[in-house]
Parts: sequence; structure tokens; C-alpha cells
Amino acid sequence: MKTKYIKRYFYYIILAIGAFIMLIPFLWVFSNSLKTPENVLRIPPQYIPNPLTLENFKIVLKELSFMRYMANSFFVVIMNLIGTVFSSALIGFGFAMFDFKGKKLLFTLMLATLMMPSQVTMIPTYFIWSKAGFLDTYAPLIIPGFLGQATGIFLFHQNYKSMPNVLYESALIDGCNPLGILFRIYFPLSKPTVMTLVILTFIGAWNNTMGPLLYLQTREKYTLTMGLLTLNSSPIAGANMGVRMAGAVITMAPVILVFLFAQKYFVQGNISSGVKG
Amino acid sequence: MKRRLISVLLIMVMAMSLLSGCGPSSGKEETKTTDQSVSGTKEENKTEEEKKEESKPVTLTIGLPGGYDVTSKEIIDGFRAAYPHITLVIDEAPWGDFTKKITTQIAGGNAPDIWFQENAAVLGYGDMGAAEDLMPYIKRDLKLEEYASNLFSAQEGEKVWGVPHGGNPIALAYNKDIFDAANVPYPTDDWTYEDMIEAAKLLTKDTNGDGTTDVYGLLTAGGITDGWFPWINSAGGQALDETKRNAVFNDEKSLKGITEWVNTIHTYKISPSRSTNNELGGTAQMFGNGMGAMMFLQYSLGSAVLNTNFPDLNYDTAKIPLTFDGSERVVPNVSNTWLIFSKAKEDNKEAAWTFLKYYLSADVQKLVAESGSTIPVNKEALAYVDTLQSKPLNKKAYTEGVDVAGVTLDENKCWNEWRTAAQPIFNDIMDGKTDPQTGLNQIKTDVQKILDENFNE
Repeated sequence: MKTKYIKRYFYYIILAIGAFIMLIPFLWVFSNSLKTPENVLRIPPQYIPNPLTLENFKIVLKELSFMRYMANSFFVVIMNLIGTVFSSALIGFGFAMFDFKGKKLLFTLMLATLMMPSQVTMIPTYFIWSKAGFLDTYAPLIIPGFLGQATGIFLFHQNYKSMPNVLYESALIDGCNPLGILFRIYFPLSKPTVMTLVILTFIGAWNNTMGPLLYLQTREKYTLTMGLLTLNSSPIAGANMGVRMAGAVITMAPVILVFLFAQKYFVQGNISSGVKG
Repeated sequence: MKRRLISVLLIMVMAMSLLSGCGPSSGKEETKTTDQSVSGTKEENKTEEEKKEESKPVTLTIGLPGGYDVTSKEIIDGFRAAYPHITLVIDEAPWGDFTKKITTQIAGGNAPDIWFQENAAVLGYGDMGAAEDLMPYIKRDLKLEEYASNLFSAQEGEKVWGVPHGGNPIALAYNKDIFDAANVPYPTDDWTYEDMIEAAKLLTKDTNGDGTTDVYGLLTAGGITDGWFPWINSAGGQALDETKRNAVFNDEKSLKGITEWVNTIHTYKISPSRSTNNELGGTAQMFGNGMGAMMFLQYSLGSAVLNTNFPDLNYDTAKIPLTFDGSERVVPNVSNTWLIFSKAKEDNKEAAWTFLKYYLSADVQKLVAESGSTIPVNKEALAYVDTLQSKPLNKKAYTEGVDVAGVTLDENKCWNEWRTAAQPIFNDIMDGKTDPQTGLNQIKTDVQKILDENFNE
């Protein structure tokens, strides 16, 4: 019994050390974001900011338009969430519940898109959006979400496949049509899958740098990740590491918060869909 | 149920309409001014036909890496006012990531009509057929005596793939307080590398007597622009030959230069090791903190790092020293270069050249000078730089240096490839892990292989 406890505490200590090592870069960024310019690169380094200042955050939010970038990012992310979750649920439901000619082939092709590196499709995709006249708009960043996303479709497909058929059949007997069955019965029951997809989509859309870099041309439309990149050449932030660190904190914070609040569902979703996390 | 479905669909429709509201015409920064008071240059000598042709409305897309942080908005607005028939569309991207964007745009056949990038990349575009040869335009419209020699930084043979957005040369920066305290005379323009080393020996101090150096006489850098490239030239050596297709590196003169570069750290002990340098934030940071008496300083670092982070630092600059034998001076100069997309429409190419003529004019080049981050190419504006009161006061160290002795960093279309291959070996030489002769032999072999692969297709 005693050995069991010792073993367990030993594992906890190892995990705690590992977690702390992983946290060091985040803590360092956070600490630097609260320092005055002269203290950021001071030798020996200052671990706890003294004096502590919020000036870097003020500069980033007010003078460097991070409020605007954040609003743009939230718009793109929310539209992606709506599009991805509903379209993936719809397509996943279709694959799980209906039999039709070529279903297996279509499903395999859909899954095969997961294996394709984005670099391969980057130039043709850019070509399509530019010819369609959608450069410098959010359309290339949002519309693909409304056309289903392979990971999401797969998650929903696995989830709906695992649900008893009797649910579908009884609803059908009660006069509910397939769309009604999806959104009234199946969708509410797939909360962990929805939350998993929400987290994955949120992180993907929030961190997306290549898309905005290619398709957005005017600074007013930049998302946060693009805003962060502009800090390197900014006369205000270029030489002030503290301002750049404040920009990084603002960019990272929503992703960390979303993950912290939804991680329970994330794990459940992965288990229910049979995807190893 | 139906109502719910309808609301979901409605949300989607609203989202789509929102997106279409962000269409290209609504979002782009297009300004057409009607201000006719500021006209272009030399208008009076042109025929009515030529004027009509020139004032045909054109929409010119201009790629601005770093946006207005790097290219002054005043310059762009001035162009709009001067050429109201040209509608400017700005396509900007963060400075460090512009290359990724432009590569995709070129491949998609949808690059801006004109943009700027580092000179070596522009040479590559020239080679692959994406850059327009500007030699005919230059011959037609520019008076060469009005420009410094680096106007031709992007020349390859008879072709010129671009003109400078601005130059960023190096000079010898020195901390006046450290020189005064050691009673050593300030550097002068007739100093050789030998003089610099001798002065650095006098300036290197262990101020608190703990056995470690606190103030270094010279902060030797490890990179190309302010590190091994000027040093390889310090005894008359070369990295590549004049054709830029053959590696030199290990000739006797280059070996002497690189040996002295390493000696500053390991033999004379007047400079910190590469690891100490990195630990203490790099040469500019150490210089700013008063831990070094001299360093090779790129022009942009003066305003961007020293003047911003160390406003009280008492420093100035002298020209890069003459070679050890006193026979010549070599001033490495990094250029960013404007180029015109070769696949742009003819009208757009002319409009792009109109922009470049405007950019190279003395008045606009003075605005370039005022940014403090780059040296203009127009001689009148170069003279104007000397009158600016920001530190370093002796800006002639840069302007005259680059005008008389400015060289590119042996840039060619595979510059990024060969310098990336050479750098780790130079690091080993600097760290004392490889002796200069062995290292330079290896560099010559590796670089020549890359040059052969790129030029013997």
C-alpha cells in the first residue's frame, strides 16, 4: 500500500516538474510583458517585474490596434465555429445514417484530404480565391468552414455511428424528418464531440497565420496573429521587447482560456470518437 | 423545428452577405485625389499626345512589406497627390513574412505590379523571369550622376532587376566616454584595421579587478554584414569573385582577414566570445550597456536600437577602417530593392516606373532619409542625411562610406543558400572549434557546390 502511494507521488512530482518546464516560456513571456523597457533585457535577468507596469498592454491595445485585430479574429473564429460545427454535423450524420451509392469511396476520399499537406493546395487555392475576386476579404478564411471539415465530419460520423439505431427509428415513427432527428436528438447528445470540434476549430482558426497572410491586404482587416507579426517592424514595438511580449500574451490568452474551460469535453469527445488524443 | 432550421439558415445567409460586404472594392485602400496642384516633373517638355497617354487612368498594386512602418505613408500619399490618374492599391504584409506571400502570388500569377524585397531575392526573381529589366527605363529617364553607385545593387550583367528602396551600410561606432576614460583618441577615417585592433587593446579593461573583462575594446560580430564579410575583405580577400559564380574564401588574403577576426577573441582577447556575446544580448545591446568601446554598426540599428533603448549613450561613428595595408576601404551595404513584376500589364509597368522615378527624386529621398532607418540613393538626399541631428552625428561615415566604397554582400540569386551553408562553419571558426584554414577550405568547397548547382543548369 505504502509503495503504491510512494509510486503515485513520485509520478506526480515528475509530472509537476514536466508541467513547470513547459510553463517556463509562458511565464517568461508574461513576466516580460509586465516589465519596463530597460528591465526586459537586463543582465542579470529580472524574474519578477519590478516595477510592474501595464504600459505595454496599453500600447499594444491602443496604439497598435490590437483591439481591432482581436475583433477581426473573433469574427473569423465565430463564423468558422458556426460553419464547421453545423456543416460537419450534417455531413457526418449523412455518412453515418444513410446508405447510398459510392458512400465508401466518398468517405475515403474525404478522409484522404486529411493526409494532404496544406502547402500542396496553397497555390491552387490562392488562384481560385483570387480569380473569384475574394482577395482582401474574409471569405477565403470563412467559407471553407461552411463546406465541412474532414476531422469534424469524421468525429461526428464516429459519434453517430455509436448511437443506438432505435433512437433514429423511433423519431422517424413519431413523424420527425431526418434534419429534425439530427438537430433535435442526435446533435444535443453529441456535446463532447461538438466541444472537441469547437476547441480544434477555435485553436486552428485563431492561430491561422498563413490564410490571413495570403488573403488579407489591408492592415485594418488583420487578425491577431497577423498583428503580432507586424510588431517586429513597428517603430513603437520593434525595439521594445515588452510590447511584443504583451502582444503575445493577448494573442495566446483566449486559446489557453478556451482549452482550460473545455478540456473535460475535449477528452470525452476524443474517447467517444475513438480518436487517440 | 422548421423555424429553428430557418433561423440557422438565416444566420448562414447573413454571414455570407457580411462577407460579400467585405469585397475587394470596399476594403482596399484606394484613394483618388483631385489635387492637381502638385504635378509630376519635367511636364512642360511633353507633347499633348504624351501627356494624354501618361494620364490614362491606371490602377497600380504596390506591395509594401511592413506597410507604413517601413515605407513612410507621407511618400505614398505624396505620390497619390502628384499622380491622380494612378490609383494606388496597397497590398501589405508583415515584414518577415512577405516572402511567403509573394512567392504564392508569383506562382498564382497575381503578384503586385511593384514591390520591394531584399536585394538577393530580387536577383533570384530576375533569374526566374519575374522581375522586369529596368536598364532601359534607367537609361531613358535617370541622370546617373545624381545617384550613388548602389543604384545598381541589383545589376547582373547588362540587366538591372531593381532599384534601391534604401541602403543599410555599416560604420565603426565608438563609445566616446570609454575612449575619454582611457585617454585614447577617437577613431578617424584614415584608421586601418591594425589601428582599430591596437586601440581596442588599450580600451579592454577589467574595471573591478575580478579577473574577467568588463569593457571590451571591440565587439566582434559573427554574422555576415558586420562580421566575417568585412573581415574577409580587411586584408584584400574575397568571398566570391567578380562574376559571383566562383567561391574564393580560402586565398591567402581572405585567410589573413579571417585569422585576425578570430584573433580579436582568442589571441588579443579584445572581444567577447560568441557565447558571451549572445548571453549578453548581442553586440548592439552590449555596446548600449557600455560593455564595448567599438563595434561595426549597421545604420538601421542606430535609430532602432541604440537611440531608442539607450538615449543617453554618448557615441558616434567613423568610416569602416581601411584594409590592413591601408590601400582600400570596403563598406558592406545591405539593400532592399524595388522591382517591377515582369508579367504586369504594360500600362502598369509604366505607372510602376513613374512611382520609382518619384521615389528616387531628391525630395522623396529626403523623406526616406528622415526615417533614420535607411540611407537614400540620391546624392542630394545623401548630403541631406549629413545635416540630420540624430545620433550618430557623423553620418558621413555611412553616406560617404557607401558612396565611395559601398559593396553588396556578394549577392547573387543563390545568396541565401550559400551564406546559410557558410555561416555554421564561420561560427565554428569564431568559436575556435575549427582553425581558419580548414574552415575556409570547407566553406569554399560547400559554397562552390551550391554555385555550380545554381549556375551550371
